[in-house]
Amino acid sequence: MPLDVDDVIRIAESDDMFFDSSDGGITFTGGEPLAQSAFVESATRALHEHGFRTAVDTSGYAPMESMLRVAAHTDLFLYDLKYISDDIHREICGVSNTTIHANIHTLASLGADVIISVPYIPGYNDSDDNMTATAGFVAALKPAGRSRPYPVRILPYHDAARAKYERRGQVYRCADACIPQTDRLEHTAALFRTYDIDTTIGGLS
Amino acid sequence: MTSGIARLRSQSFEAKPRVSAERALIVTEVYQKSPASTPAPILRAMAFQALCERKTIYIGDDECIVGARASGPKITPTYPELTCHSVEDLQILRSRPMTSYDVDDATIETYRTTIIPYWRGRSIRDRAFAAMPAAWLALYEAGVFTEFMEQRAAGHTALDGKLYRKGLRAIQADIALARKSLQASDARREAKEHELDAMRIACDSAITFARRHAEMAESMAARESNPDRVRELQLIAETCRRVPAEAPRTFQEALQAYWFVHLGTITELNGWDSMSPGHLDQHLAPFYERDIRDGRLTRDKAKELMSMFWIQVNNTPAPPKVGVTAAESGTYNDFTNINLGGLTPDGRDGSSEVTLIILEVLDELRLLQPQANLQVASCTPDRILEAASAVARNGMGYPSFFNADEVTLAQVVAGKRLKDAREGGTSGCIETGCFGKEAYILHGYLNGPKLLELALNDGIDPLTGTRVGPSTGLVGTFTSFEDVFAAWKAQLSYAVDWKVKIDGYLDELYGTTTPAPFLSLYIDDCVARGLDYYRGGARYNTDYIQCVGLGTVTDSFSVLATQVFGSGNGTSAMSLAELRGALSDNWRGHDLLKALARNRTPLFGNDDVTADALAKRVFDTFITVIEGEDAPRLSGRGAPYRANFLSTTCHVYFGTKTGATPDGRLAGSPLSDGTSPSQGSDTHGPTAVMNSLGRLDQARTGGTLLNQRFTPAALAGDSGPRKLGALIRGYFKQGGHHVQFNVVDAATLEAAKKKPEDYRNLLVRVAGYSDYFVDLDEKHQNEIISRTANEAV
Repeated sequence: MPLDVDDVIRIAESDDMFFDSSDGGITFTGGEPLAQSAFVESATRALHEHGFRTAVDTSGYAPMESMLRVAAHTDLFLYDLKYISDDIHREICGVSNTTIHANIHTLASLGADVIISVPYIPGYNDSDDNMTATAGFVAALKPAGRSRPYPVRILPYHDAARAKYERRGQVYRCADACIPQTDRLEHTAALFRTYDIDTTIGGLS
Repeated sequence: MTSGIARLRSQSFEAKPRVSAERALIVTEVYQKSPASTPAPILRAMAFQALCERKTIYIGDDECIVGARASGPKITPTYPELTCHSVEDLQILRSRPMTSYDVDDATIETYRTTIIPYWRGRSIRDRAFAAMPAAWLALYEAGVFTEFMEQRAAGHTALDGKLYRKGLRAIQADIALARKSLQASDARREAKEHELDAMRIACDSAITFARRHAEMAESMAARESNPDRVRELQLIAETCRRVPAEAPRTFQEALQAYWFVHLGTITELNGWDSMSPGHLDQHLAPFYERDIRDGRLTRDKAKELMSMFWIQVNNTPAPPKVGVTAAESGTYNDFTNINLGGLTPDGRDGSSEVTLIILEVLDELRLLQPQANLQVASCTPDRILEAASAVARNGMGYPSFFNADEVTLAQVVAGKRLKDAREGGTSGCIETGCFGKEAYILHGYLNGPKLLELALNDGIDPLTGTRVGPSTGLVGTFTSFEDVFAAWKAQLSYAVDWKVKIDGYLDELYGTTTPAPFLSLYIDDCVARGLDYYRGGARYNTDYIQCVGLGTVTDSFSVLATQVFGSGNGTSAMSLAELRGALSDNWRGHDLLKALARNRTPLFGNDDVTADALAKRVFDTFITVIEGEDAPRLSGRGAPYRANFLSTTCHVYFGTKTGATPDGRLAGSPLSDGTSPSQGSDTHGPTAVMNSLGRLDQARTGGTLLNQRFTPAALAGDSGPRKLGALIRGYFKQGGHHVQFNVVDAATLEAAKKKPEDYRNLLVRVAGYSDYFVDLDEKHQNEIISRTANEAV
């Protein structure tokens, strides 16, 4: 069901009392919110006018102009970095990561509040090489006005959708091997921390 | 945990509840020997005296807080003067799969030869059922309501701080003064003299009971070789000679004084919700602080004593219930509920170091009882709320959380003094009351969905074909939603009228035959008025009926409004006759209609204005009918009737008595619990549920109940307790009364169902109390599994 900006404000207001006690706010997620940047821009502006905090959960794959329009009224970006090598990024995501990297550099230079999300998918992007490259990339961003790098959340792949695929008669193609081992996650987190990056495993803490 | 506590805990955990006939024998002998002319309060005091003087007492190894309800841990007495178990009842007790009790052959023989021959026909239960009119029995047997007082004494006895300031000798002086002040012109003078004399006897009896423990500790000390234990036994003896005769001076004396009063109350009678200390942390804080300052106590020692007290409460399982009551409240839990935090009588934050000690004890011991709850006021510090949330997320179902500001407001609205209201709180499951000053008596559960079933069948119960309610019209004559609602309300009024009438009769039966002189010592103003707790002696008196199935009724009405009478888009998706057809087929073969009911109808618990307005209307109607529409409905004690919204486990029992309902629920399955949305109806997350409940004016009730279940992942990490605390504050700002959390995942519960032996210690929140998951029957287990698991806060 399509929403207009008034709907967004109404939904936000319904949880106002919980935001007061939790410092919470509204997160735009997807799909890719930046694919509808005009709407997200007007919705975040209206939310700011009403005193709500805003966040945008993005792959970063959008024209810089879209990113900047949305950034004006976004308090926090949740920003994905899936693979640092452009060749492999093209292979597994289907597009180049050049735009994604340019956008995050711009956000860093503006001093925007960002948490980097690194999905962790064994067999795809979990090599030490890629994780080291990712940590180095994050450490080199040097966001304006901050002494430390952006924090990182490592998001372990999970198969919560498996039962839903099966109910729909669809084949769930990810093997059990896609589910990360805890010790590998801890190892990767430790690797990020050697770059002075505040690192957590999981997205909900 | 010290090794002594570990031993006591494991003993308490392992011991199987057992029935003892000792109390029954002593009480029976007193009744048999007393002349028929003995005034009831004196007879009750003599029975209490005989128990205090003669019952076997027990002091266990490692114990410093002493006294047992029967002759040892987990042994429970019986109360044949209220309910006289039959031989068959006792045999069922020891063989039933759930909440069974050991009953040895000698106990059964004692019952056969001595107890049953005297009490059969004399017990309150026998007398009550023999006198019940057919109309009441039809409602009762159809599962329209239950009756609390048919086998247990009325309950909700929670205490204020009196016993820590005043010993029984000082109370006896008050009794003497009250007796001297009786006016010759007082028409009830003789009855008051009897009551006051009974209270005086009760004081002496409790002092005797404590002194026997002192003597026992002294003789144990004389035989003991371990010098540390000798010192402990000497201190026990000194403590038991001091309290409850005199006011306590130390932390240990204060805990022991409370425990003796608790034991006295649950020996005298077996009131619902046994007994609760009220604001235990506030009561103990001055003793704790003074003892620490004077170097008499360390924090560790205080925690050890608190653990010993905790274990004593766990050692007193509920006396065994029978019949419908066993089904509506099938648990060993006797519902002692301890209030933490909250407000002081002068409106300040009531939390202290003792609050934190109790939370640690709760978390470490993980016992079935006592329950504890945090009273959250706007001035309650976040660190206290987060400490309690950190315990709650461990998945035992406690502490539960109450809104202290709303609990105060609800009492002030009901006419209580502000100081008294703040010293009140929550007892039993979720019931608001004024501790130490109120008799707030629960009378039984009321089945809202069953009344709708009667309304759709002109007062005939379709499950049995018998007439249960009044004729309120055949459905063919209903032309609007208002017609159906009016029929439901008429069925409700009829059932409540009958319930109240019989409650009044039972009140009178208790008041005249089974007063409670010992309990009356601790409830203001029974002594000053010379009136028993059961005769209106308390400063405040309230009578409650607990309404069950708010979510089920609301969703059912929403289906009627939307799908049958076309309130949404003006078109009707099904006729009333089609809906009734689907109900009588238990929805089989009516998949489309069921899908409309479940998926195309606004349901309660989704922050949906339409559904929530219906919920408010149902909620308000329950309250208005119970409180009285034209004039206030008063009980025999002259107390106002009020509504409560808890279900304990009764929504499961009521479910078995209720056919398929318009909300798509199948015949026999559980009704919604408390004021929670129907199982599976809420699909918009916990804040939407809380927003929906926020639309109900909860301060009009004696309590509402909201169950929420979270998987452990949702509350993990350092921020978990903070998020839970923020959720609680957000709900309470909207006037929410109570919320409790089950933090477990469905897979764990399924595994526990399959291999109960591996999950003995899995505590879950049932409805207002915690229970071991494996002790629940399969229906309850399935119901807990099906409650919406919220994946993230």
